[in-house]
Amino acid sequence: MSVLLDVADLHVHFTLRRGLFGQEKVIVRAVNGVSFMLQPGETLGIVGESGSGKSTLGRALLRLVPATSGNMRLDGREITKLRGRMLEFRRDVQVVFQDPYSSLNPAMVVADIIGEPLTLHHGMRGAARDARVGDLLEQVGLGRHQLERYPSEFSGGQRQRLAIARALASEPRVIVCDEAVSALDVSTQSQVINLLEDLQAQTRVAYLFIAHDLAVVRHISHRTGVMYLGRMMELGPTERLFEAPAHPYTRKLLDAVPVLDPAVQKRRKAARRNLPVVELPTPTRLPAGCVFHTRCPHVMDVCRHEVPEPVPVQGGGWVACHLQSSGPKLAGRPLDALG
Amino acid sequence: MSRAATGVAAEDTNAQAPLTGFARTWRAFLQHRLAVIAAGYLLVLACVAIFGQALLVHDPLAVDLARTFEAPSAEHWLGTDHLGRSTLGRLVVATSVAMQAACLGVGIAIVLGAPLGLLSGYFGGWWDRIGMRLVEAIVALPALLVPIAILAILGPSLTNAMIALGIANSTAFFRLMRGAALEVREELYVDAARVSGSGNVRIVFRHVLPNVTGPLIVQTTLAFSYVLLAEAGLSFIGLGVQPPESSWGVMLATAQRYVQQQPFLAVPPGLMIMFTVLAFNLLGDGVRDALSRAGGVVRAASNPGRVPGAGATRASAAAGSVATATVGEQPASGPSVPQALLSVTGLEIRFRGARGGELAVVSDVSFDVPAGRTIGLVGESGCGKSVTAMSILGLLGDSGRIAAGSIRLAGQELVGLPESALNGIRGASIGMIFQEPMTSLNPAYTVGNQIAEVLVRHAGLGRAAAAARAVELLDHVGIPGARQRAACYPHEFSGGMAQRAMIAMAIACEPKLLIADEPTTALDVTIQEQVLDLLSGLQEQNGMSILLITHDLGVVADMCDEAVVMYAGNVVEQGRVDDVLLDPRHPYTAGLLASMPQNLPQNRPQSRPRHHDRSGRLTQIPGRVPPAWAWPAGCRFHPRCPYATEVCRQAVPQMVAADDRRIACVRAGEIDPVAGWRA
Amino acid sequence: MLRLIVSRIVGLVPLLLIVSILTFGMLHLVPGDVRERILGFEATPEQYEALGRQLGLDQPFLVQYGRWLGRALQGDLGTSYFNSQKVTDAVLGALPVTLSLTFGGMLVALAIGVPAGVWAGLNRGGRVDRIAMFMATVGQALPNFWIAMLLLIPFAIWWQLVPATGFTSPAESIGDWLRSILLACIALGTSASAALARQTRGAMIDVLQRDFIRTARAKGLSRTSITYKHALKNAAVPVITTIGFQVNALLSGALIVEQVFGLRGVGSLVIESVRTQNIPMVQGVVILGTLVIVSVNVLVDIAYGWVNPRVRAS
Repeated sequence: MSVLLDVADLHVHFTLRRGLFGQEKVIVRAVNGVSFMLQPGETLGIVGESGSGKSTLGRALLRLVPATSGNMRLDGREITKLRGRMLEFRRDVQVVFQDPYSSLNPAMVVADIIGEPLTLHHGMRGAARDARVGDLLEQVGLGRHQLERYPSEFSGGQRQRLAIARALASEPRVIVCDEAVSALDVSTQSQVINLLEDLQAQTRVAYLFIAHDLAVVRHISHRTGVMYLGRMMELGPTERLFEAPAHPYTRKLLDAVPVLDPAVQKRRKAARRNLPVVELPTPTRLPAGCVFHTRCPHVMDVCRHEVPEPVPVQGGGWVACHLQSSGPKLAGRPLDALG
Repeated sequence: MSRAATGVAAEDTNAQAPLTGFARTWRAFLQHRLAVIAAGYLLVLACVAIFGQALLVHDPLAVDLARTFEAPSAEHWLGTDHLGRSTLGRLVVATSVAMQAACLGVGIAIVLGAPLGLLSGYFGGWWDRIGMRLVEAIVALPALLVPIAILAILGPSLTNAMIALGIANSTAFFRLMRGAALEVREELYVDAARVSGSGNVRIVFRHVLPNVTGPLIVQTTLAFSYVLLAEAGLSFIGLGVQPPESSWGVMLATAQRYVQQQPFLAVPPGLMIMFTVLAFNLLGDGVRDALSRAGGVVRAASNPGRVPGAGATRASAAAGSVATATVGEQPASGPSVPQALLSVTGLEIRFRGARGGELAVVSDVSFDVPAGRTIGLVGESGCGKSVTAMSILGLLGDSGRIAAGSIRLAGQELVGLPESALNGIRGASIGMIFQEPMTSLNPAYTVGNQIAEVLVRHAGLGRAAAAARAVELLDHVGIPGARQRAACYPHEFSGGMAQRAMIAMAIACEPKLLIADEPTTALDVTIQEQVLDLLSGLQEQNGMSILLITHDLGVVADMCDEAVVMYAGNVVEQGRVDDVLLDPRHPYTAGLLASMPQNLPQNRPQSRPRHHDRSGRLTQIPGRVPPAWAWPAGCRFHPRCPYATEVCRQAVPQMVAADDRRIACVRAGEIDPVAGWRA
Repeated sequence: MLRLIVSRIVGLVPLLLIVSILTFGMLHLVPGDVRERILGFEATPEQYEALGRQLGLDQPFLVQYGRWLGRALQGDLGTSYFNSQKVTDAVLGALPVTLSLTFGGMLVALAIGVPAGVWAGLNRGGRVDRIAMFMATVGQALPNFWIAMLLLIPFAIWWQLVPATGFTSPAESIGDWLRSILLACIALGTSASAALARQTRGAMIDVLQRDFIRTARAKGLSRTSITYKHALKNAAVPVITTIGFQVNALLSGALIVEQVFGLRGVGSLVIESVRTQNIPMVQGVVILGTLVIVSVNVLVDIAYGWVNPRVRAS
């Protein structure tokens, strides 16, 4: 299988300065050793709660924040150390952000917003550019006669279509969707999700689909990765991961999402382990060992000291959990095997 | 895809004719009468400055010692000064001097400050830090001492004074542009431009600059005021324009010297300064206002009064028919349901529009909240669910009012109660929590203080007793280390903890009803789970009713006994939560459920509810939720409904009860509301 | 809180260093030879030489600056070019007049501006609001020395209720002191109160729309409690910042308004010094003026920390 994007041991750390003279340096490990691969035409979902580093991962991939260490390769080309405007890389990797209101320049008209990448990458200008912008507008389900309109004249869902059209303009290989449908109402959200799927079928573009909504990720992703406090805890084929999670955190996340059947939900609610309320750790104060050990119902001694290594899971993918190698030794079986 | 496209296209016909940003701003500016007058005045002043001296009858420098200190007369309209010179003539010269000086000073300030500030803010780093330190130092100096010190170096003269004022005022432009550039730099559209392959030069000129010109224009008008006032001040104390040259400040200095002989000398130059500075300030206010209005809600502003009329006829028609319908159907809402604690009947809420006229945003809403039960009020944004919740506590604000209907709490009518009586109910028999726990707590007071406040107000506790009870409440809602946390400020809480504190505050007086408006929308799923469990646990303990407002049908499945589904200001369906979620009867409910991606296995279709499409593709409801001013006649859902017929375009559907369920759909019973969405 | 105060004071050190370098640098930016201005054209080359050594002009810039700073830290800001008067003495002698006007003006501004702003903000769009904002807009356009003249003419010249010129020290007579500065304080306070009223109104309107006000209403608190407990303390945050700016503007205004009332304060001193390019005196005024403003800013920051717990913690 061909690999389009290969991310290996990526770290993104930020330094905050505190104290009188900024003498106290606090290092925020937003992304802390993340590895994954993405194939052409594939959707890789990244789920996680706030502070998990999933958005920073996307921004690092877009080269909007510098990687502290690690490698990112696109088609085998190293992209971690590119400098300047990186035009070739920019053509291949595009983005759709969460907020359809602030991601479009309010002072520019549609033709200029979507036309900008066309000018920069394909040297298109004037009527040729406008014709292509019209094509793109139709491709995302908007009329082609809206070239001279401002973003403020569009609704939230339409703006997100504009953002998608801009991302498509340079004919990219990868689009990072950073919470791309989270701000939309349900009925609009389904339109945009279907649009993204249609476009993938047409163009074989790969998506890195970052979202906190597990149901959306399950629907759209071929494979899914679960992030917590800067680390990838588990990654695998979407159906396997959602049906037979191998990491206690994955299961906790899945249990927390209510299902639409009230009877089923009542049973799940009753069965929820009512763990004591703990203050959650933050990326500035990471727990030692496995970052999840402070909330884990299966915590063992080893979890407090050693960072777990990734282990393959039956049914595909891998998990980083000591349960797989120490203690009861799940050895690649999903968590349900614990009973 | 095709359906989505047609939906969008249909919507476009509603959209206004395109207007450029400049034209929009200009139009908004023209509505500002004072600012337009000010601009006209300044234009006249500029003409006087340029051509005025040619029209003068008296040479402003001609001394006539025989006619000193004259009062205004037909020959000397504004009198004469101590040397018998015409005050009017000198005023015209002074105007010319002031305008030139102001242009020079402001020009220097902009040229010096704006580009440096823009680059400093955009690129940041060392240059920014050095620049910022320097500016901070200059700002820490007494404002007038900067030009005075510069004049000490250069020597007093008008040009030097303007250079000095320009330098001093350039810090304002530096800070403005730096701040604006810093802000714009963080905008997502700048990130998007970078991802598109734009270099720094392109980003600065195409993305940053156009978005900072507005504040720049406003600051420029303010700078004119500042420079005019400062120039007058410096000339007044003899450090600016040097006599016998004329300027407003010099003329006031003369007036000051001869105040005993002719007090009137002080009047004309003072008024000139005042009117001119006033004009620049008003112009700045007008531009600022026009910019913010042009950038704001364009759609809402551009559709004045069109819909209120339509809404009114429809709503009043509905209100009349519904009152009877609801009362009549009351027993049908479920024999198993105990006596209602809260009963909302035929509720209509209207809001005043920006340009007069009223708009009904909620009409004909009826539902009951039985004691000890949880009722979910569900819908997409703009359906009126939050407004309905706020109206129960009488918290609609100044522009909204309850136009019709009744809200009864345990038999007591709340609509029309005076504010003082409502205050006795708010926080006491009805508690409320909100979507954003962090901003819903007052940042200036400790959390303990804010909880104790409710107890002092309603439970009649003393301060000490209330503070002790607040700690107990925080402990009760599961906040670890409650004693210490009570003394903390809201910003020291995480979102989940802050929502627990809000819950502690809401249940402090053991209310019979808790209204929870999107209580978990801002929280992560694992925190949402904890907060929902906390609410359920509290309800088991104290038997309160909960009215839960949410857009998340999953939360409804988790918490609620009954669901009330709203669309475009109406209730479209209500019933037991299992019925509504598993067997929706209204096309909107069915469409909403079908368009939600679900956390259910894709390869086991038999485990999915009937309304979920098996192909893996989500059902789409075409178009979008229309804003209140664009609600269609007939059934408000008909333009998006696959079952819509001619009847739906005309008849307003009435609530009809059937099998524990109430549905507002004229075609209810004759259609399968699920099947149509698969087509 | 103590931490905040200490950190603010320590944070001033680099700021004051920059100000001192800028101020000292003034001397070297003056075109022409300083010695020429002091000695005149008839002096002999030997006299020039001697004066140069006396002023330390033969030393490199940094050495000169170091010496000057060392003396300045001991309170010696040099000597006037034209007589043997110590700069520090001259400025400190003139300061009470100017500070009386500055802080008197501030009191007037607070007494008028804050209540007017709160009232207007609470009655947004009403008649009170419109009248108050009209007056504030006009007030901001009035040069304060002109207001001073307009007050002077009736009260001091026609009716002679207060003296037209001269300053009485509060040590001599509090009543006469008040009478000697009253009109000047009102003149200064008028334009400052206009800015303060607008800012206070804006802050009140902003705060009243915030979520926690909705919470307070949902708790059933009275209107008084919502306005004076929940809104006012939060609205104070931007208003306090404005007060800091206004003290600066008032100090500048005082330099000019002094001239209207013939009060011999820092204004007269600095104007005279600029006319004669008496640079050490100007330096002294700038340094001591900066110290006043900076001390006020520390007080403002402390007040800021009191109303805004977030600042206190960081």
